[in-house]
Amino acid sequence: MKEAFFYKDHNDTSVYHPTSFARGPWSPKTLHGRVLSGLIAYEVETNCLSEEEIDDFQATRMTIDLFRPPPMSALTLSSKIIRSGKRIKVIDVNIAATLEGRGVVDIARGNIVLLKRSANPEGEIWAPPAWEISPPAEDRPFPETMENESGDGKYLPIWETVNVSEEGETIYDHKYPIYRGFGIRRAWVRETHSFMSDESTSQLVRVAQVSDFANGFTNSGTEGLNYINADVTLYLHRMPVGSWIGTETAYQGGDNGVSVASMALYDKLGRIGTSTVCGLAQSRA
Amino acid sequence: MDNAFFIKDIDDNTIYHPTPLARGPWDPKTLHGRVLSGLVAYDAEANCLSEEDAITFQPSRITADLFRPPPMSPLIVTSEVIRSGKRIKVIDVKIAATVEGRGVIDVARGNVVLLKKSENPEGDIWTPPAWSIEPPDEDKPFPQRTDFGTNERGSHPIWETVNIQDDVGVPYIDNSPRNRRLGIRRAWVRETYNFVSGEPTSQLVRIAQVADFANPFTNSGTKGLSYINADVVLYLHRTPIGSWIGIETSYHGSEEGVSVGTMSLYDKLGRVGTSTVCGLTQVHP
Repeated sequence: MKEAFFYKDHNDTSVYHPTSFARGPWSPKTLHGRVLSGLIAYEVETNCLSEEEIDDFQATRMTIDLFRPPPMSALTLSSKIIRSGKRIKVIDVNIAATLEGRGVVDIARGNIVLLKRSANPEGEIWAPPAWEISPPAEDRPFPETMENESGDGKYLPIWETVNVSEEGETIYDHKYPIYRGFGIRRAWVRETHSFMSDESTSQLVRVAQVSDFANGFTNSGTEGLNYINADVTLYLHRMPVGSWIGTETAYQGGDNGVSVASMALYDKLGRIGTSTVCGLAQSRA
Repeated sequence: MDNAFFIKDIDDNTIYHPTPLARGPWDPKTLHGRVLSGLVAYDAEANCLSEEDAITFQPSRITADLFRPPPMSPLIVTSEVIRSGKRIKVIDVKIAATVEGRGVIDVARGNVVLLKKSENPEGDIWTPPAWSIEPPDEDKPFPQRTDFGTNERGSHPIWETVNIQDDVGVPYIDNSPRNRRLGIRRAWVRETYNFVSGEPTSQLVRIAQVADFANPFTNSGTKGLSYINADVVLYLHRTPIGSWIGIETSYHGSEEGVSVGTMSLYDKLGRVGTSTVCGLTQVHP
């Protein structure tokens, strides 16, 4: 985990430089959506919350609006605490970049809602049955670098996916494109790269990055992935434990080229939340 | 439908006066959350979208952040288009009010993401099975209104719910909340009041109000409802047709007094989207 998606600017703490690992699948000139989700989480945890607040408050919702294609260039982050109550905090984060011929423009923004932890109320509330699938071992070796699809180089996938078969077996085959049947899909995902150079990655940043996978996971079908997401909404009632995050397709609906897709999120102890995206029909470049 | 939740100010079109019908269940001095998510939809439609935009774009996500208990007093609503692209529009809505001893402060805000309608891409994508439950008739007579006394709390239905029997799909004759047993709940909901006095209520405003029902529907159990929601996120891939909106519990998860609840949304033609809320433990007065 030496390689990272970003490194910090030496002079300006609000500026983050992406590395080539942060590249997205839609165009070689644009960042992956997942690193923007991660950046919102990173910024909030680093610059807006005390250690005590991180312990006392659950990051319950994170919304990321992806306005424009994010360029592979330095990003300027700014954040603002919008509401700081006894039991609720709301923080806004803005991400700007310099676009050729247009100057500095906002390319994405996010907000995060934090709620104070206490105790659950009495009584039982219905919840759908959760899966009972054990994650791969924490010390499972990382995958080796693989041949690029076009055969022009080797690369380490920017995250690792261990698919779970319909029978509930984990499939240790990390060749890309991965096994994805038609029907409910289940998989365990972990990070293969650090988020920020020379820093360990927080659990919130991990799950924030995985949340973007709702698009690729739930919106792809017999003809591959033909939707690009315009946002991500991550809901968490608990922070994930361990490095493996479980994903399970929960919903997909599409009309007139506009889709909504949701996946359930797990860790080794059970359900932790959900992630939903809306998207536009888009052919892959 | 002659009564409404809001009356527009005669002089200032940013001001909305709530009527007693807009009262919420938590405190007689505060508004119902549903009228705030309705207001986000209403103001975005009324002030930020042309008639053409309303036809060619699908409102795909409406987020309402409920920061503070909203008082039963005039609300100042302002909205702004913060991104207007060929295929995406993002609108921010701010809701402020005069709070005793604190002056004018923000009590809630929302944003609306609109995506350009086109055509679905080729191929099949897995989606969970939808229900096939017919809504009640469009011309079903409205329920009798109960006189609201001096307390005025919860004594009149500000919407109509027709619960559905889990297994057969026949509406209960006894329509009381105790028929919401533990398990998947299903119901059809329609508005019994106009949103703004003297105006028909748009389909978007209808469903934006129903979206808030995710809290009591998914977060109540054997001891009733003990969570208050801090937000509402409505996702739509299609705007509902007809006055009945179908709701179905889809997820509830909670840990240390922080909950996440999701319901599926239907109209007479099938699934239209989802609504999710996060909330805090709160004892009902």
